[in-house]
Amino acid sequence: MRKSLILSLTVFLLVGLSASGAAAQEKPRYGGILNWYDYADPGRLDIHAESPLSVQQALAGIYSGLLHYDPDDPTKIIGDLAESRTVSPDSKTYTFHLRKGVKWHDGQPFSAADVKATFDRVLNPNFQSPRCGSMLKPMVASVEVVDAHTVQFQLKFPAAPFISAVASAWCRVAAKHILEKYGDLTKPEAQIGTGPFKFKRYERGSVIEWEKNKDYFIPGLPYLDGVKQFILTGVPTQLAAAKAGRIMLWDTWPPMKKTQADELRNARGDEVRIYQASINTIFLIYMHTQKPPFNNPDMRRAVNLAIDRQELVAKTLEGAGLPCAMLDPRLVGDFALPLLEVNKLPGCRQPKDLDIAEAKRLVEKHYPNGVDIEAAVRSVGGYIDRAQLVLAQLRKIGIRGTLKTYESAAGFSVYGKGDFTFISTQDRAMVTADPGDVFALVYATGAGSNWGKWSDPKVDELTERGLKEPNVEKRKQIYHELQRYLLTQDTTAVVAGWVEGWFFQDKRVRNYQASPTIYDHSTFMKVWLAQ
Amino acid sequence: MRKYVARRLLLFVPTLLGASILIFVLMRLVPGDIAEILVYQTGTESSAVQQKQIQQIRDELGLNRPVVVQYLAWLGNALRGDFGYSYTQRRPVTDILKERFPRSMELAFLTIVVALIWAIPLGVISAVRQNTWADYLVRVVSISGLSLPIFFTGVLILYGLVRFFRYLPPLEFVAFVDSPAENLKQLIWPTLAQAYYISAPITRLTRSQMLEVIRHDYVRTARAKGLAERAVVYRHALGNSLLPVITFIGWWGGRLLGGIVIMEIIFAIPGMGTALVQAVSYRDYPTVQAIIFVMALVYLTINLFVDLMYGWLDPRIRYA
Amino acid sequence: MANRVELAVGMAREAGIAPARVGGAQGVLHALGWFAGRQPLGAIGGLIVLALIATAIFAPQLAPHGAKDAAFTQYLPPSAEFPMGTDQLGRDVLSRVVWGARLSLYVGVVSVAFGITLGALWGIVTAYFGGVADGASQRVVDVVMALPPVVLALSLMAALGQSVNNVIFALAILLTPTAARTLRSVALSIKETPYVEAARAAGCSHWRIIFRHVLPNTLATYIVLFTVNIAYAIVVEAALSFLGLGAPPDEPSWGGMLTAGTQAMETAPWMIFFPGLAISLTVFGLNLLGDAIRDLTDPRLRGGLG
Repeated sequence: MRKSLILSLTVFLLVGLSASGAAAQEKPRYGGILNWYDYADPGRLDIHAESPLSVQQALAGIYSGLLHYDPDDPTKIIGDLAESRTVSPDSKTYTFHLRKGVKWHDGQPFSAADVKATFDRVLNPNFQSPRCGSMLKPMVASVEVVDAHTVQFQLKFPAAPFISAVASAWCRVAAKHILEKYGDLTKPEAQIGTGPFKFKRYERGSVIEWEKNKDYFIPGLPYLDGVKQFILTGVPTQLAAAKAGRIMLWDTWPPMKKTQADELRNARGDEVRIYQASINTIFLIYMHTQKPPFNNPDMRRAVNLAIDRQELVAKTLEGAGLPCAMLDPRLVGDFALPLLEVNKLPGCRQPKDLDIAEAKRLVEKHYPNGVDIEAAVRSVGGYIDRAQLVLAQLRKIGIRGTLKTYESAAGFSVYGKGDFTFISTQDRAMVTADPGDVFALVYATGAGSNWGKWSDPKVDELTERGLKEPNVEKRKQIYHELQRYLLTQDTTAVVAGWVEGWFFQDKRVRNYQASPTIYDHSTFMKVWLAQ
Repeated sequence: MRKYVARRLLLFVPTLLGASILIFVLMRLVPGDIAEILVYQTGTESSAVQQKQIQQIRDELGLNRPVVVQYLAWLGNALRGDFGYSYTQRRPVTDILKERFPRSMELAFLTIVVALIWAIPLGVISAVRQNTWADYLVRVVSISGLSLPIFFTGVLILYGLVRFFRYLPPLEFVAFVDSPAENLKQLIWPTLAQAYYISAPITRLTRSQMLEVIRHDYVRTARAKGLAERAVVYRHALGNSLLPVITFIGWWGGRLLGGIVIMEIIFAIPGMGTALVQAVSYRDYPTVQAIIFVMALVYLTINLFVDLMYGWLDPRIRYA
Repeated sequence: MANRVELAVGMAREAGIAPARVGGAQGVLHALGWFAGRQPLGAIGGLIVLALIATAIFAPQLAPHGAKDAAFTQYLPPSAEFPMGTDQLGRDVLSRVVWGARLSLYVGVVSVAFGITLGALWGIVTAYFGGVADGASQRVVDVVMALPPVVLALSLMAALGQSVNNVIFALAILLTPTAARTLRSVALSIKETPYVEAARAAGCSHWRIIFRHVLPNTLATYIVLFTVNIAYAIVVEAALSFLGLGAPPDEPSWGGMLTAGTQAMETAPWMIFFPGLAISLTVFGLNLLGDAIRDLTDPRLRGGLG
């Protein structure tokens, strides 16, 4: 009797175990080429010097960084070329211990000298590096080689965003001997990295191909034989390729609109997984603070109160976005003000009757007959639609805007020079997942995207403190204070919200995770294709 | 004749120069330059650094020199076959031209051939059966080709292929010499879209030329001699009608090149059109300058050839 | 001094290829009927063009809403309330198409009027006076024509910025050289006729000759160019919209609506269908009309003359 009990229990256990085993991870399959597309021709391939996403798409899998976002769990930053790291007690010295036995794609051995060469280049004051360089230059004093497999970064002050910056896909490590040979990394021939894929072919305007790096330093990876990106610049063509199954995923800029997602669903139904995701991009409405009418804080306040963020997200982003928040809790966790608090603030709260009435009053106080302004917008993506809705909202409070559309480049020229009164909409994509980015880029005095030329010493002071605060809890407090201040002040840029979009993956694509920024998730290191 | 040829050749060069000056000036009038784009588009550096970087880029590229100096420098180099370096691709513009020019020319050539094959017989029918229902039908069909903007036709074709036939033309360009089949599979669709569009004026012109010629004496004589109607039409009338049609194509070539820009974008063909649009967006002056120069050169060469042909055929000029 | 047109018309009447002289309103109807009989396709074209003009003039009465009112639900299919559906911002497509008639007509007519008229005058005057002025102006025309039109328009729009007036300006510049060249060759052929020689011999001033003899005889060509190029202008504006450089997108330009509609072809096909229909019908009608007028007035094409 007992024997049969033990036997049946054992059988039960075995069945249970094997069942759970089957329900657990599928075994990754080797082989296959992943097809997708790049929305623009990258042109120049220097990962340290260029800034568009199209360049990152072309090169991501070729290189490795010291650190990167974990392909299995992109909210974490883990070591890539650096096996481990230590920080000095004053948080000003970071020591990275590098992997051994790593080879470049041309067979040369990787060592700390390559890391020093890379970061010396990026940090060189005469070298223009709008992504990696602009992040690291204010923070890093020097990079030194300790020994062949150890590198040390000396910071100017205990910089909180340092790790996020080093983990960025823009701060990848290049080979010293390649930099010496070619001088820069612009050419296809110079694309020698340590990443999971080798740069196989670049047919300008047509296609970019990667092939598997058989000597990749993580044994067993990558699973794919290669990655192929078609260069498709027209939206109808991109959509047609998706519907015909010629591309396997859409994870680039701009995201699909809901109508396109619906069409795709009709065309391919069960074969694809369509989902909504954040692109870590903030939707801003700018006012020039040194020119009438918006040099008057009352007018800025009026705009702040009148803009219906929820309507903007619902109609122009088709619901794919988070209205009002200056920091998105889903991206930066506790650093963001709780949404409950944000949604009660004037300007954001619904219904808007009180706020609109107050806004009208403020406008009438200074312009009893209303005011006419010229509203700039770049004719890109969905910007025009957004701009039209923003102007319709402002018309309710007596601000009559005429839309002035600019061709993309001309628009940036105008913004940079300050030749505008009002920018109806301009997005800013975050490069790292660090909460301080928004403030350093948009609201600080003289910041790169502070088109409205706003200057508020309190904001500068808080931003500076947040940058240098090593203690995480104290840092959170600083950013909370900053958000509260900016959301209630009459700032240069009204936050309409954080932008999301629709994307799709062919169901055969497995283990593709989106990272917190739009720049960090195209290495395809651990992605595989099912049958 | 010699004087005629000499005059035509002499006029060729200043016209080409004039076109290059015109586009040079136009591009400088367009707001924003590559320096501002590169720096402001990322918007990450502080504004003080931005100003410095813009000046630095402009110095590197020689954009701070007076415009006249820039033009003369460009001209000097261009005459030696050096079109400079592309701002967006940092490689010689001549390389870009060598890559892209044959592709666009292939598309243009195919479009013209298909358009002629389709349009000329239609024009003949329309002329021979003037004012009958056949004539009306031809005119309606060909005018409807003109009635839709080509980008629309192109997008419709792409959409229709995917929606109803689950078929998408190849997205990767393969040169004709590498694989004629793959090449044509991609190029056939923009060719059809554009050929349909430009066939209307060709049909119309063929028709009017034929109508004029048909009335002439020698045609009546041929008819009187009892030659088969078809021989009359095709051998005598058509032959003499073709010349103005060919002139017309040379003249219309300009419009064709513009339409190619749009077709290349829709059908993902990496030709001069897409290179041009990208170059204009990024204010890549050397590339724009060179591509326009080549397009103008092609257009003027065709016209020169046609002019010379006319001169040779017109006895008043040939024997002057 | 009888002018050549009057003489020609008289001869035509006698030969039965122009309507007989009938006075007043009855005369107009008679002429129209004659035209319809002679050129049925042209008559159809004419009707379409008339419908277009009427829509443009009576737009405020015909359109149920404003062209920029974004007050409604997005992407509504055609229904009783919105016979042509709504677009991506919730605007009534019918209203935008109707207002678009006014915009397209305005852009088309004004740009063509400027471009063709300027080009015509330029071509005629320089052809008449000949010499260095003629040679130089022909070079200028050649230079402008050497640039592909779309590229020229693109650069102009990028340089000037997007606005309806700038579109008109860019289109006018596009059309001027063609008109100059065409009308120049017509003017050249007229210059050689006996009438003009006689007039000069009689001592008429150059300008008098131009106005009384040359211009009236170029009228037919001018009208044909005019109608046909309005269609071309509308189509070019649509192409510019596709490239992002047409009229500002909140304006109800048919081309802009077409471009926006390509983003939602399956889910909201009405966004493309109705503006597309509007453009095609308009261009179609204009071309038919222009074709018919050309047929009528080009002496070489009259059937029946042996």
